[in-house]
Amino acid sequence: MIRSHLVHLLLQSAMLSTFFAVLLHDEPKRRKRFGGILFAALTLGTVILATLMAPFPR
Amino acid sequence: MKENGEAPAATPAQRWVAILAGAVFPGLGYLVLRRWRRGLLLGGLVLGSFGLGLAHDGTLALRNPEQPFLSTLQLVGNVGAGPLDLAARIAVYGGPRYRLPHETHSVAQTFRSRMRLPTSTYGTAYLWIAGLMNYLLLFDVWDVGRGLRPSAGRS
Repeated sequence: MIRSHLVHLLLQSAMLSTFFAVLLHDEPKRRKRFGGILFAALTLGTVILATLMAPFPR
Repeated sequence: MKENGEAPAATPAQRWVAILAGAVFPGLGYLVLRRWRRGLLLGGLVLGSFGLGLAHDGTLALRNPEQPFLSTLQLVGNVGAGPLDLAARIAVYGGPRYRLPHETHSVAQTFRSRMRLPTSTYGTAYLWIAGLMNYLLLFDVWDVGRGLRPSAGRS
């Protein structure tokens, strides 16, 4: 099974952004735009948060 | 179809059948309302998340009396997947278990040993997400049944 944090992050972000784009928007153009923004927010937000947390010990 | 592009509403009986179908199997509620593409896509995402959760040895939450609030929230997330969650519990714990028994019980040992598996954290997140997504689908099925979603493309 997949053990890479990054692959799981990308996979889960893709699934969630597709889910909410289809759920919340009906026009294909708006779906793509919303899905893209959500995907970027989820992935980049997580990477930024993880980077900020990295210096702190458990 | 209404002038504003919304699909015609289903009858109250159809709506309740659709909600029940969606609770029994992810995406089935849309199929009852003949929203094939929407049902297959959204239901497929829920099923995919659930399958990934099980494949990564995700932990099926049990209510822990020592941590009642958080463990109940986890349980509620899992149960959203409906009978799939029940089937997974029977396969993993040997029965429909929802409460963490004494530590010496085989179910508690299975629960703890599964938590220690290397991919369990990922799997648990996928299982929660599958359950929570299915709850949202039930609300959406209700809206579709009331004719509140546009029918353009029937997606």
